[in-house]
Amino acid sequence: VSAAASWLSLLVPDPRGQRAVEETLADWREEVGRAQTVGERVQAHAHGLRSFAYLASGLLWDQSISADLWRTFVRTLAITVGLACVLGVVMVWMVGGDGAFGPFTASAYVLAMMSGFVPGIFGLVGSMGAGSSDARPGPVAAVAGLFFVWSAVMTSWILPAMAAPFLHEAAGAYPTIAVPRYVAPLIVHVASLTFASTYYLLGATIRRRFATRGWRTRQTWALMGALAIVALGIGARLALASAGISGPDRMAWLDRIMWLQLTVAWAMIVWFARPKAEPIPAPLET
Amino acid sequence: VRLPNSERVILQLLIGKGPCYGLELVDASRGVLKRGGVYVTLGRMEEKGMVTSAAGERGRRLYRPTALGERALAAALVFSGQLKVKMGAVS
Repeated sequence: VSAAASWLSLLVPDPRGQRAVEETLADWREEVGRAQTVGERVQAHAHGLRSFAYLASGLLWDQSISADLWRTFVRTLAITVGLACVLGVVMVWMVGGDGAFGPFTASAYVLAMMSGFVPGIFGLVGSMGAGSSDARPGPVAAVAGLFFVWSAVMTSWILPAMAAPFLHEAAGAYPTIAVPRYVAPLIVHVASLTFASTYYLLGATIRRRFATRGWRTRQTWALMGALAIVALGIGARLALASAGISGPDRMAWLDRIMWLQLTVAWAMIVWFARPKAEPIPAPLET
Repeated sequence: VRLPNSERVILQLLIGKGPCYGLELVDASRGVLKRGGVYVTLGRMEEKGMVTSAAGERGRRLYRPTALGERALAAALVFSGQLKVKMGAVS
């Protein structure tokens, strides 16, 4: 039990959570100490394990992400999925010449997946708090404009150059989109749709973390957080290109890069959302 | 007055029974409070100033309500009572 306590104290960094862990362990010890038969001892351990399951879920809910941040995430996710659906349909319509709409052809799927970068831009703007009460419309509009120019450059020159080999490789990786084979890319696609919401949530948690600082500092850090994830993805893709990996392997590596970005982003969210280690305030006097 | 059900139950038990350990609250709540999870709620309530705690026996903590907790519970009960009356009037 003491080994478990030390591991859990590493996993739960804030003092309030640590105290909850200690008290749950104390209850466990108490019950095991009171047990007189083997059956009672087994029951006490079962209670202890169940307590930790409840404790873990409670801590996750209470400390990692607060309810209003979850609402922000779900709302942005709904907007992103809606946007991606519209863009996906447009993309499928645009490439309608090379295959049927259902099931999707590989190239249509890849183009739809690429449309994820547009929601990504919305996510970056969202990381600055667009639509939330603490955002100022002028600077957010300026950033939105900047990203619009960037996306125009991407779609005009950079993406077409990137798309040709990518489409070819995708067609090799998923030659026929039968239902079972479609499941894996579908999961990747769904995960890619969460990027905008993740950026939005990351921005919100960072801005909340720096609540005592000035508006400019908060927004700069929020944007820097989202851009760090973007930079990680670009860097990993450049490394992949320089490694000379091609074909289905390249597709698998692109998926891994995406998962890495999401993992790092969520780790940052949890890190910034965790409560500061502040002393528990004294109760009010009667 | 926004008082989640678990916090309301804890305050009612602490005011009714007097100072309690977390496990005692779980046992007295008849399934409303969960083992382990109760300490997350108690920690949150202590942060809000609704309960206070002191070191008890064998590493456990003894919780008791504060004046703020008692006022919050009273306000929540008044609010829910008024709501019931108004809902009854509507139906």
